[in-house]
Amino acid sequence: MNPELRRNLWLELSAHRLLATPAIIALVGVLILTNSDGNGYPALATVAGSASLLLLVAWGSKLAVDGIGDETRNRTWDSQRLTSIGPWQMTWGKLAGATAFAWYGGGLCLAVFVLAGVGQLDGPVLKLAGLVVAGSVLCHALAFNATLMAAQRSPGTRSSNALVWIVVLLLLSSPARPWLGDNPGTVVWWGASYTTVNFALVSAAVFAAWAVFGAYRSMCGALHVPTVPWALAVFLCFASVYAAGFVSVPTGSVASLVAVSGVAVSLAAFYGLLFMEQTGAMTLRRLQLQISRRQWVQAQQELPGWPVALLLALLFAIGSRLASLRDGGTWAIADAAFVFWLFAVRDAALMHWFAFARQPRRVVATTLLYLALLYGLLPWLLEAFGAPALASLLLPFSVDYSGPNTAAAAVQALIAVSIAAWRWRRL
Amino acid sequence: MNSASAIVVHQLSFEYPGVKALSNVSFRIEPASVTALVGPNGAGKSTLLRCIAGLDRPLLGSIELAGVDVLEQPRLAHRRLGYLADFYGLYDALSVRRALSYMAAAHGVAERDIAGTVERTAKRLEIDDLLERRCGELSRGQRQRVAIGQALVHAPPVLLLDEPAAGLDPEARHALARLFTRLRGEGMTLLVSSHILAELDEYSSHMLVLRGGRMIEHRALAGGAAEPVRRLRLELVSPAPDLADVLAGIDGVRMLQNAGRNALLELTGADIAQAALLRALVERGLAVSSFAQERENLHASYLRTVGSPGAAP
Repeated sequence: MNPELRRNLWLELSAHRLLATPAIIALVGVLILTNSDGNGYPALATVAGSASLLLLVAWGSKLAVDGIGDETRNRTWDSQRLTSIGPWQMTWGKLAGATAFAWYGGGLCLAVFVLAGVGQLDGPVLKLAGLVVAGSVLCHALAFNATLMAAQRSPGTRSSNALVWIVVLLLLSSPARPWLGDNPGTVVWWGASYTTVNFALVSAAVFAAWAVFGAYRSMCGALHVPTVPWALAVFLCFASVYAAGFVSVPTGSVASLVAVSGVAVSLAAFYGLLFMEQTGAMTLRRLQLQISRRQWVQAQQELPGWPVALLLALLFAIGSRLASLRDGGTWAIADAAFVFWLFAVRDAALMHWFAFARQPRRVVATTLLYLALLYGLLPWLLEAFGAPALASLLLPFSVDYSGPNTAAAAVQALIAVSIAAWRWRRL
Repeated sequence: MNSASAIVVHQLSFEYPGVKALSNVSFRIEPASVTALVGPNGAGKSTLLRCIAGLDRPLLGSIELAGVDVLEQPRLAHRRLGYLADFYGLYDALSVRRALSYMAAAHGVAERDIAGTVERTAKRLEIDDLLERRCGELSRGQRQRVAIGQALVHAPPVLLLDEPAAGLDPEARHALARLFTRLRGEGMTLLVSSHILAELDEYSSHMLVLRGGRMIEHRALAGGAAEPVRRLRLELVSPAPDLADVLAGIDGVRMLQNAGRNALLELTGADIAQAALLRALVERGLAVSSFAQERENLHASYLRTVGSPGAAP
């Protein structure tokens, strides 16, 4: 048996919990059945479904966060990293083990939901149960991954909890929507129509698999098992194609759609990774050394994810421009892709300017503060002082990307890279 | 790299932003030795141990542990390594038996062997009466023994210990020294970091001195079993004015001090060389009243090392 899973089961599934949980669920079930006027089973199914959602998705995600967070807080994480448990065993042992109690309680509720709901509720009960399971795995893996990255970035951190909860709540609203609504409706994806619950179920299952794989790759990083970042690039391409399927525009070829979607997806991933991954002077110093020695495989192993996402965004931006030219140059959003990319370069350089300080402190918070100034306060002030043209140069959103806006974005990126490079040389 | 060595560190460098924590550190540690890793606070001792254990990735250099490249195969290297951190890393909610069982399984001990391995480890560390108690209920000394048990349960050939005796009472420290001596006798290689030199004096065979992230010295301690150079205290019935001339005619020996009837010699060689020297002294007419190996105090040895001209960081 996976030792990490067994350790978690020892801690999570005590005899008391194993006995008390079904007893409490049974008592609540009896209470609902005896107090409902003829519609006991539908009421029981609804309550059980809601409880399973709460226990599995919300409480389970919290437990997945604690699966890493408690280890770093209690200083047992290094002991775990010193074992010879492999990254895959550690990942699934923790994911399944830390959330074992949520699966036990939530699973019992889900079983009640299915048994009481089949033939009693209007919706596709079994598919909804499957959606809860897939959505739970997805949320657990995302929460786990976010905490793992935060733990690598600054051991003992608790800041990931808030972020994880936001992610969980956003995701919670998505798979639950077809269940809660009376009319599930349909989804149009790449021109084909799908029942929402079917589409959500397959999407949740596929992204859950990606999320577990992502957690495994993060675990490789945490355990210093060398990997090259091909998986991130493949995932971003997959997500770009997936997201492009929802876009319906009057102009532009399939290639344009995928390329523009690729820019958006890659830049979203870039910002997420930039602020969550372990990066900074020492990571880049190791990378610089490997490159200077022409040790390309080792250099790839040292490479954080954000440069991969940034490079992919550039490739997609070039692709969108080429596709736009082929389509007759009519799609302005393809021109915008480069401007967004240049702003991303500026923001990465700004963060690294703070990270390259001799004693860097609160790099992410400081960067976010300055980005709020650059994207919010400064343009607002310029607008207030009657200089809207100047204000628009500080923002990537514009009606015209052909001239000054692109040049202004390039100048800002150049200045930010220059000052970051200057500080890097002084280290 | 030489796979016969228990630990091989080659040109290891580690940096924090603006700080060189380790600078071009290279050394080999032979099997069945206890190396005292000493140096002032901030010398880089803990960073070095963490790099050897594969917990931190160095900027440059390579580390081989019992024949395994730590940077390339960290998980395999961990099967051959036990590590005791200055904090013990125990799961307070687990019983001692479960804590040891978990660590045994996590280090690849076969399922059928785990129960026996746990019992043996507990007996060896005299914690068999604590097996059913939760780790969180134990005293500091007991927790420390459980933590050592966790590090030893898979019988690794190499054991790294970071400040193992911090916060222990004298009795527990003495017990720890006896344990380390026994482990070394069983063929285990120990690298022990501490800035309390008296603690290390009882069991160390070698000394590795770090200062400002640089290795100042790595050598066998005089009196250590593996030591090729040993110090001998010679006492004579009456002063021998020609002692220096007598010694000049004997290979491998050099006089460090001469105080009339009492002299301190340095001999290159093991027990056989020591016996041969005694025989040679007697044959040359010296009235030897006492002739014994003098173990160098680690504290004195350390001060001598850091006080030498080449020790400046």
